[in-house]
Amino acid sequence: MTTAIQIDNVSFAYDAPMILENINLSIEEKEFLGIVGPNGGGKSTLLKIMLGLLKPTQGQVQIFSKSPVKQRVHIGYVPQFAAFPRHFPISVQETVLMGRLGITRAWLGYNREDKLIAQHAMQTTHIADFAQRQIGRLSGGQLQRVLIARALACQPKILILDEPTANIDQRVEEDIFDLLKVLNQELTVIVVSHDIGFISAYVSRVACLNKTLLCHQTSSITPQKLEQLYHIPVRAIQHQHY
Amino acid sequence: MSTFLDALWQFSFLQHAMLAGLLASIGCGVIGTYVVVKRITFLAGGIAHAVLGGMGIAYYFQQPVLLGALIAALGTALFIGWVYLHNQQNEDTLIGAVWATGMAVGILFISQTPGYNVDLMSYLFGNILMVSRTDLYLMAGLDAVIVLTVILFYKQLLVTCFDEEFAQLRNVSVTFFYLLLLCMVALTVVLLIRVVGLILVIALLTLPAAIALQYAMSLSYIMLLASVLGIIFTSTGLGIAYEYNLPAGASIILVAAASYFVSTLVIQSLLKKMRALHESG
Repeated sequence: MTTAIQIDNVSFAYDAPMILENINLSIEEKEFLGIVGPNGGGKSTLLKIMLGLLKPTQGQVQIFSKSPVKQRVHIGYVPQFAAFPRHFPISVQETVLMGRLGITRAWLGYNREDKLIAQHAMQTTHIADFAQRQIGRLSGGQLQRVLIARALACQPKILILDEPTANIDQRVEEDIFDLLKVLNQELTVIVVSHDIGFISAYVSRVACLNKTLLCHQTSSITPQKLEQLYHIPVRAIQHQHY
Repeated sequence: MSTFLDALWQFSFLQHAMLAGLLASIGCGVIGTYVVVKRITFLAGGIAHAVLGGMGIAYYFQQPVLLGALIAALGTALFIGWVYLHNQQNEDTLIGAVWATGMAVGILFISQTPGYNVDLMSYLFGNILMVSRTDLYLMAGLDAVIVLTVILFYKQLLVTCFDEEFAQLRNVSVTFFYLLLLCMVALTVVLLIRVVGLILVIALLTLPAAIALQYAMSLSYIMLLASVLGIIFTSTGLGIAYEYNLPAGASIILVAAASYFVSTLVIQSLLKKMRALHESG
């Protein structure tokens, strides 16, 4: 097994209070990792460091043995969808095609190959039927699929999702995780979630983050382990929080 | 109306005015679309008004006034853009300050220029009837730069407007393309000064695109529709101004504004009702 992401002694602070402290984490290729923790526990900050959007105050991150900035064209990133204007005049297809940026030619429009790859990504995520629809007219679950398709159009080696199911209902949530499970056969998948009970049924490992990495268990999934994953981290987080 | 058409056939100054309206509408439609979807109307207003500073200084030193406008517009755009990218918190206050400073500098320099200052009014409120052949060439050149840049970098400009974080992750330089966009806003402002003057620039830059946004759902269609609307507004305004002997810039803006209000308040609400009926039936 090759190591996809290697995080060594990473600490981060904007100003005085530490947001992340001495994080050590090694993520294997084709692993399905869940990162859980309370709000303000540093989950999004850790993601941004992995993506090279923030520089750690201490320590370093390597992605396939190189810096995140050098490797980020190989990462497909799915943001929380509250992050951009939903009434923007842009279609599903145009949004998905953005995943080709950084790979396709710099001048003029997208080429035929880009369009084929985007089409394939839309078929994988079952949104090809409304490729021409404006994104403001989609349901929460459909929009989430568009963002996953955009990340897949990057043809990534690693897929990183930030709270992919924060604003959608339970049934759609299951659909999305079933899709991620399929994608995981080819890709390393990292999911940040608030809902550990739910994701533990899907992921192969859970990392609990609240400034430090509280719990970090490797497991072949057994009912006992699931039980353990479900209970211990939740209690530990609550403990830290109050 | 027929007198206007006869006159248009007869007088080259009216033909120049029509052409100027057409050329201005192209730049407006394309760049106005970005201004509207990126919601930087206030920023564009700041650039437009700060331009008076450059024009005043050029006027005082007896240099070409449009050159002063061009330098001031680009300088302001880069300055505001740089601050936006490094410190987003006080952006609106800063724009307000630049806006007022530019105008104050302009008025100071113009007041100190010896002679009769009749030109100032034409830059504040535009004088489309005074457009010369050289102005038309300059406008066509600016249009060509704008349209070519947008065709070449359409996808990068789109992602910069839509999702800056994702742009950065795909190694698209948000800094470069945001500043490029603001520089094109600056060029468009200079393009429009002759037509409607810097006070009214914002209206012609944003109203056609804002109307187009209500009907078209993709950036390129909005640009096309906004350009066509701009051409209709400028030529209608010009016709009305000629028939009733009114200032052309103000007439053009009032035609555009009236269309915007009719579209927003009447047509859009009718469409909404029809859609509701369609869905319930």
